[in-house]
Amino acid sequence: MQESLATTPTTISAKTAMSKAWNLLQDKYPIIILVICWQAVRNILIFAAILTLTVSIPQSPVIMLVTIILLSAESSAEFFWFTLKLVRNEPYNLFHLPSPLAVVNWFIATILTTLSVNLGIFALIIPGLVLGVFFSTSGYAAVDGFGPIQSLKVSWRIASSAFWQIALVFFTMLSLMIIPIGLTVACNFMLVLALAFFYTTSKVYAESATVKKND
Amino acid sequence: MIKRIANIIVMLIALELLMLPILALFRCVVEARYIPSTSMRPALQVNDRILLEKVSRFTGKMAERGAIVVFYPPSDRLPKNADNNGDDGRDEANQKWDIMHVLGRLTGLPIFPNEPALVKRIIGVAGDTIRVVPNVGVYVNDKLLVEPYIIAPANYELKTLGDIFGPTVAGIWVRPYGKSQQPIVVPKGMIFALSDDRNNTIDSHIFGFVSEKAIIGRAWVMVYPIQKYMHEPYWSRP
Repeated sequence: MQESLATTPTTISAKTAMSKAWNLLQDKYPIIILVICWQAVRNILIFAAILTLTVSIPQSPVIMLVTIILLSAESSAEFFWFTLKLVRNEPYNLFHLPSPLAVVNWFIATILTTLSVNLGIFALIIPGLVLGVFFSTSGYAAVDGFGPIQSLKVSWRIASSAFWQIALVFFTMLSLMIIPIGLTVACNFMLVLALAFFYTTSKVYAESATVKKND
Repeated sequence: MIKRIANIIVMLIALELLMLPILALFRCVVEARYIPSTSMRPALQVNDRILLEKVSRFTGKMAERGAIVVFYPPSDRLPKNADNNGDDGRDEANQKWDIMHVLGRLTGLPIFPNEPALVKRIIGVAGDTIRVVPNVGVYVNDKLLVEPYIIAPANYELKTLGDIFGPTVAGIWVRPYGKSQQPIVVPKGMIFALSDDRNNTIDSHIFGFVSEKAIIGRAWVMVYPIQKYMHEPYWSRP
């Protein structure tokens, strides 16, 4: 069923995605701040505890590097998961975490995406940017229950049907992020939310289409 | 319209300000430092980047003999009683306490003023008796330290508290313990820290003891140009 959902095209425009993301960010920014603070404080405390235990052994830098990678992976997957819940207007609490399998899927999908985008950048930049757009929603698919390879396929199909809309949102937000006027964090949230809208609207459309087909 | 713009500005400021306490909390655990001087060569050289850890404070291993630490230099103010026996309460670090300096210390962001800090090796901890014999070496509790990490032994003599004098970081000539003839015994809560390049530097042989409270962190890892664990006592560059 998930495979058939993924083939359904996205129906919203770049303007709609941005506008929905902006409205959601304005409505929900206290909870977004709370979630980010909670994740940061929790990770720093875990990091400090592990460092305290290992600081006197020579392997501690490697242990801490692995710790940072694992904590970052968990937090990022959790944030994607939280974003989907926000966009779908589902209840959320701070201690409700995504399943370990979803985190692993997200991690592998992200590594595959990063590798392919970097290879594309190496091949005269443009292919990397194009691949970046194609795989931009793979993280949402991964935390939503798809396997790593399946997530990339889902993202590819969503982007195939709405390439220019996603590209417009993607590059507008990335461009704003590099302007040094302190908009980095806000633009990052906007991008994450807008992409989540692309992903969810695709799925919502697919679900309704599947229901109609079943009827 | 004005209300909407005000809301947006408040939201953006809240999102950006959120980074400050998180950054400050992280700096309570680990802090990156750049080495701008040659005072710790050959162990540390100009342009080296190191990470300091601050968690040793919880395990009581921050002030360990032979550890490399970064600290705020003591205040240039004269001690309350220049003829005392060394336990003179001169533990006040050279720090400013206005909001901008405090934010600079907490976050390390370049938009705030950052106070100078020194990187030195701890030679003596509380209770140790220190003596420096010119061109021979440092005696801690009457035992000569074996120091493969120094370029050359010190060319000055330290026998009594009165031998501790010279110009500080700010260029002010200080003699923190006057002409006291008491031996150099490290008071409780203080350390005696020297540079590895003993003869061209400002360290405890000039400004005296340093409060343990003034220690910012203990060197943990060198990240550039080599990746090396440097937390062990008496560490030397490979």
